[in-house]
Amino acid sequence: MKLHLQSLLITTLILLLAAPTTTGALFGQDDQSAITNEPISAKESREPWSEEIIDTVSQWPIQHGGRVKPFQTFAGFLMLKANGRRSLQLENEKLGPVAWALDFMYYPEIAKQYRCIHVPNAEVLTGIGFDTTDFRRSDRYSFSQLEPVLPALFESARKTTQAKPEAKEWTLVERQTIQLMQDIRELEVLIYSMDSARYSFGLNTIDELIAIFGENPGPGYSPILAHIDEMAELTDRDNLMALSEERRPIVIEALRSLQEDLIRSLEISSMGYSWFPPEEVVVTEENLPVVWTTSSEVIQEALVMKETVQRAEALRSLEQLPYLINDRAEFLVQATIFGTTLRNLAAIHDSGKHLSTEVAFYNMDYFLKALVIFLLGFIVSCLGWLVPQSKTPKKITWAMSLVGVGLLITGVTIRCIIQGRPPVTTLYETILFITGCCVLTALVLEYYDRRNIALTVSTFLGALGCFLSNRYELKEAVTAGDTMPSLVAVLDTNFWLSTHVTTVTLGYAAGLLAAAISHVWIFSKLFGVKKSDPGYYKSLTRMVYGTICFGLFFSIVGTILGGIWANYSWGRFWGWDPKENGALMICLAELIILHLRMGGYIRDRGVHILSVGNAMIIAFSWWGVNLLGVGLHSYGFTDGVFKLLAGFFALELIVMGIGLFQVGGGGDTKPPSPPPESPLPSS
Amino acid sequence: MSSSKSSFWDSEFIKTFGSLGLAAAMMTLLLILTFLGTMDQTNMGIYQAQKKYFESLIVKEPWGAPFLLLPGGMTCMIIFTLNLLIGGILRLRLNKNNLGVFVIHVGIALMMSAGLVKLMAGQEGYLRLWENQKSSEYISHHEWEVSVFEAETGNVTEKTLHEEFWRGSDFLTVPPTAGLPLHLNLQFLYGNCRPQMVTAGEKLPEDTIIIDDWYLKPEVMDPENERNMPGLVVWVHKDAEDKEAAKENKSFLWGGQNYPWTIQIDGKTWVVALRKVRHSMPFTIQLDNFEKVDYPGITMAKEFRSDVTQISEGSQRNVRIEMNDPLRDQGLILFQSSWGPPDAKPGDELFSVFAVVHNPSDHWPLYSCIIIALGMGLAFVQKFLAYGRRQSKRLQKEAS
Repeated sequence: MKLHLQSLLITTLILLLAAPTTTGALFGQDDQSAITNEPISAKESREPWSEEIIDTVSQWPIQHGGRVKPFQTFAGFLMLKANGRRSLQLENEKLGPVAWALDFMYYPEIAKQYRCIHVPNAEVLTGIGFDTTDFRRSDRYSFSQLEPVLPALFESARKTTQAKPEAKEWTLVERQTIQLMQDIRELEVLIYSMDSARYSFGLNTIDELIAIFGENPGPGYSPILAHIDEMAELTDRDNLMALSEERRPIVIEALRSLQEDLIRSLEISSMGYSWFPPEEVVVTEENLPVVWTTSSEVIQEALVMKETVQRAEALRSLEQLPYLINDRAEFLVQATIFGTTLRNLAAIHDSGKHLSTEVAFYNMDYFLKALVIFLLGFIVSCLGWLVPQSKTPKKITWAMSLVGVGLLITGVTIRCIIQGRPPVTTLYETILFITGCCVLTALVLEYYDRRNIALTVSTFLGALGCFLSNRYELKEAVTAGDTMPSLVAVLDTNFWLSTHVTTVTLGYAAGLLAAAISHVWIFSKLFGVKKSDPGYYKSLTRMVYGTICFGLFFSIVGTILGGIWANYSWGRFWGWDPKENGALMICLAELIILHLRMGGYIRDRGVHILSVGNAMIIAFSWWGVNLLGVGLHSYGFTDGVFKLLAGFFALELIVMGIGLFQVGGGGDTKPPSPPPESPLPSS
Repeated sequence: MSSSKSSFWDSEFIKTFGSLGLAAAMMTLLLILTFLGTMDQTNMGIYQAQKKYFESLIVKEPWGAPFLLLPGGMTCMIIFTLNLLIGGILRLRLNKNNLGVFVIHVGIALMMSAGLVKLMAGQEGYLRLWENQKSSEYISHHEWEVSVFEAETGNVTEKTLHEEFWRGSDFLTVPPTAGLPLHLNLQFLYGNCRPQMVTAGEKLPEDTIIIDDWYLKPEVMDPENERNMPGLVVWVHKDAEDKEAAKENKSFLWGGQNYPWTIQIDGKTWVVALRKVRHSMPFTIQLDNFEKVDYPGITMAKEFRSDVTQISEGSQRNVRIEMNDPLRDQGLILFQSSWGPPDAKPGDELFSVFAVVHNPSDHWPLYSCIIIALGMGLAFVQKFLAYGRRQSKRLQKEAS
């Protein structure tokens, strides 16, 4: 290859990229000042972003966390992770995730003042020498406030990861310190993401370069990409040798300086975002995933003469954006070109098909809406108990419950379409799925029972489930940066996800619903509700019994299907793994309830108390086993869940105690003796 | 005859043994054992917990509770299965109302028998291959054996001694047998230990065995059983009168040592090795290509797969083994289980690890799942329809 600069660049690049580097070193203050020798100074004030710009930027595709997602999703989880919520209230404006991210990209100096970094534990900051005296626990910190202690933060995180390579060995403070370090790193990437566009390479330092690039070539990589052939010609060895003795050292020195600049800049840009899909479709037998490139890789590919025409066009638009913040109409045009070019490129790889669906999904906020509707439904339903003769509250509750569960199902279905997967792949999704199943099953019970009990329970469980999913979304954002993360290889099978996982979670749902109705039985007895109506209590028991039967079916089938999956994946049907044991415990607990009832060993009271106990076993299997940190199924993030779980267990033990020791009240029907439905002969 | 048979099935003992109460009691015990066995995994690891709680007749000191005894998982499962057979199948008076329950019980019995067959006749281990390497045997995950053979003969005939013979026993002498004209003496020391050189001034317990300034230092059993390295002392002698003299020429056998112990007797070299149990396969597997595919931009594996050649006598075929898609042939199943080295950098050569399982009851759980699902479907649909009928009657009554 006769391209001297190219070969030189590539060789140097390889050496540089092979050298151990860290993002911290690359984005440190010194490096930054060296690179941005001609920065476009940030404006003192900023104008709010128009809705058109927000909508356009929302749909920019980006490959992140192993999948292609809209920029809005990426920014949303980044903000949720750093800030603990998806919005930031400024003095006169409320920023959503995209506007917030745009500010960091295009008004970095202003955005650095935003108090949007949530540190849940003051010990983390005091440990790195930050004085938190004037801050409250709920306060957020700005990037600028933390900037002086960032070296200490990085050092502390480095020491921890070096001393304790396994995350499970970290203390809470260490974990939160590392978390903060990761948040800061991600913010740094956002802040510096436009720096290469702001940097002017020395493309007009000598006549030979001016002849190629002109007097005013402009900043960023785009001019280089536009004149890559001429550059190749200039750096050709023969052409260099053909220069006069006088010019040759000057040209070589200018090229050397340019090369150094370029290598340094490319190295930083390589840590940036993977915006650019490749322009060639490589069909492989193995169906390998398509890897998108950063702007750095686009330049490197151009240097080795790979096809980069469309990516160069997209990059040109992207690099113009920092200069168009005062010309919002043109900003919108270039942002649109950037997004459209990338989406078209993504389409040739058959990816990014659901970008607008995903944007719409997050904009609709189905689960928050469902939460509000379920809550209202619960309130109306409770009011309905005060006026039992009126049918209106019941009708409204029915409508709200149906709308709520409709929103849940729609949201879950859209997630399935976006991911191309069954509804349950992560712990977050189990909450949504279980909530939906609980509400639907309760509505079926209400359809048959018509006593308003299952209806009230449906709205309560709907609201509770949606609330928990909302809270847990933050935790999933912290660990995976997304609630639609990439799956480990063994889970990458839609057949088993749609059979085993859905059946097992249906079993959880039914058991929890039964327990919820048992709570109604226990508290009704405690407060003497409907003392004179034995049918009320009988009806509750029938519902619980039937729901446990329903749950047992799915628990047993789901558990065995899990064993069969394990047998096909790992070569063993049963390995006494904690998650497997949890599923077995649910099956056993429900079988015990049914056998004790059939054998006449327990009456209604016993069924309800054990049903509440079953809820504890389900909670243990669903969340508790993940806290143990052993086994093959510890894929869920459960930090902070312990307290919640301990509280739940304590509460349920109290409820069981109330059920066990309460006296009086009607409805504790005699056990069948011999039970008419008992399959066994009387002994 | 028939009356005595009838009286046997109606006896109090059989009634009790097949009762719902006993079923509930056994399930409650299993529930407790499962919970304790799960919690104790944080202390002792899955393997030890499995042995202690689920494959035992009695559990001593469950979860560290002193002096407490519980029936072990094996005991409970045996009683539960008998109870199921007697009460849930043999003594069940079959009619249309309990047909579903009967079918469920048959399915559960089949599943329990699948577990029993796997426990009694199953084998499992792993096979680790680098590209172009081949092997016709796989290695047990947990079981150890002592292997003795004569070196430098064309056709090596091994004598192996499974750990169940020597683990836990102070001394074991194996008399000469065909192909092994030696007395093999083994002294089991520790389940987990590390060799250590005696340092000057070091105070060791009196009974410490020191050989050539080395001794085996006992260590706490690791919850990850694969990390436990047992240690033994070995010596051999040819004739009874050599016994005492042979003790002078003894050696340690340690699970982690790279080279076996060799000894010259009558001009022949004998090799003694402590190693994981090896099982032979009826075919040879050669790894042609291993590929690990990551998700773009992150280091999480999306899939990993191995292209292998299965070489049987007179034939060979190319097979791809990947996650959720194993190779099944001649009673053996090879699963893509892992890869390494874990610290490999991009471009480094990788090895592939297969889990190898011999399980005569491989598909029984699937059959039992189908049977149980059918039975439960039948039973619960019947109950649900009855519930629906009752409720509609009630609603009609209330309306009128």
